[in-house]
Amino acid sequence: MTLSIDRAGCTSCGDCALAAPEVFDLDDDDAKVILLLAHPPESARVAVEQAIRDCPAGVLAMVET
Amino acid sequence: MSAVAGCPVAHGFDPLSDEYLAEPYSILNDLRESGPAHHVPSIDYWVITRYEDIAAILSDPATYSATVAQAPLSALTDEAQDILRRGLRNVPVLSNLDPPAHSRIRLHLAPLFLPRKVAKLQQRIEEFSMRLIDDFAQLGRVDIVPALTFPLPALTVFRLLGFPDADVEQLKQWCGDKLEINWGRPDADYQLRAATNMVKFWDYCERFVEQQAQAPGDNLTSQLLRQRESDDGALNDQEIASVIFALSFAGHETTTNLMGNALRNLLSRPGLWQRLHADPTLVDSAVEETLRFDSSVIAWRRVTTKAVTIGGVDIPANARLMLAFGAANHDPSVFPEPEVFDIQRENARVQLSFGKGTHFCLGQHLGRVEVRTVIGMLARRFPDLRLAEGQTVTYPRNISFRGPESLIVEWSPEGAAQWA
Repeated sequence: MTLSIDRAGCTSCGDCALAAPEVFDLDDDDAKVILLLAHPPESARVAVEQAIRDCPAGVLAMVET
Repeated sequence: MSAVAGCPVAHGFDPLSDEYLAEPYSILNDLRESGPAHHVPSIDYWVITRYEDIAAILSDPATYSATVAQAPLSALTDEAQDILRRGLRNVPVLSNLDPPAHSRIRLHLAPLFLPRKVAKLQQRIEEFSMRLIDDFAQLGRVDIVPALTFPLPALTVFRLLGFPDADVEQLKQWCGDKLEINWGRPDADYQLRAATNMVKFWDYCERFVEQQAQAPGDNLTSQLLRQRESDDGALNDQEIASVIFALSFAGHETTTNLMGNALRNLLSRPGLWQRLHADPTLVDSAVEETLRFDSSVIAWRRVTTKAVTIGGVDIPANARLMLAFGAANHDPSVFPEPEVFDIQRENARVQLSFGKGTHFCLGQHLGRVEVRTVIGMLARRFPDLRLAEGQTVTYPRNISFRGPESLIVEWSPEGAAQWA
């Protein structure tokens, strides 16, 4: 699993970090999304999919399943 | 009410009427079912009704400008306009500023409202709540708005900005005046008084920034001032004063109203309050369903920058839009059985009450924490809390901010739990 994020479009809602805290966080300086793990383990799949669904700005993507 | 085909005008619709303020949802549902967009002559706005259209509008700031978001809804008298023109030196900074200028301001504020920053305020919010609740716990009957839901969000956000607790009453009154001017239809006398008070409110914010520059405190205003030490793009004095002028208003009225809406909905349906008392983990989703079902921001505004077509309806450039969040949040294409208040609704979180996109509510985490804390504490402490019978609940006369002005609740003091 490989993830990508579009930081420019992030609106800092933090829903991703709520759904998958091991994978996504918000940066302390600009409050936009950061990827803690670009290749999260299989065990994080459900949470990652949830985060992608939840993102109201649509800036999270799974580029490789 | 119904629109004639090809002529989408909602002649009978007045979002400031008694009928709508008391019971807006049947009217909004009718509007949504009869079409995606209707011109509303009573306020000279177009009301937009469907979830999908409103979400798309909020995501397209170039076509749908936010500059109108804080504009006076109704025409003001020359006298009131003159007072505001001379006295209000605030500049657009947040909800009524478009990108890219907005992006710079937002970037400097968003880090201060991160969930982990807000989590640090939780303890303070609990302490404020406990103190306020202890004051009335033995009475058995109270108007919960002045006793709790009105002061708590104000204390919280004013403390965050740095304003002294002693000024809360005064600030709250000024905020009420700003609400009438920008979102209501005040008469000439009220306009004069409210415009004068808005200027006093602005002067207060400006003076406060000067004070904090001299003697910094542990608050958001001083944090914004301090950003200049290491950041060329940091906000100037006028922008900071404008930010606190905006946040001191946005940061409590909406939260007060959401608490009131949550309590009214939870207490008016048999068994719901007991479920919350028995299972406090339901509080979060109950608050989310309140945001969907009975939002404290029932509508928000945009203006078109060019001619557009919304759901097949042609709308000209420079048309003012009233985005009916209340209609979108009851749209059956997104929320099955929308008229059911379901505190475990699976997708309640996609409600549009905090907006979406660039202007997504900066204080959403703070608002959620406050409302969850209050509802959770009340459910824990007062298992038999109920609405007093025979009361008429009234709502403020404006197009956006909705919550009970007064809500009398009762309980048996001997049954009230202690904090433990």
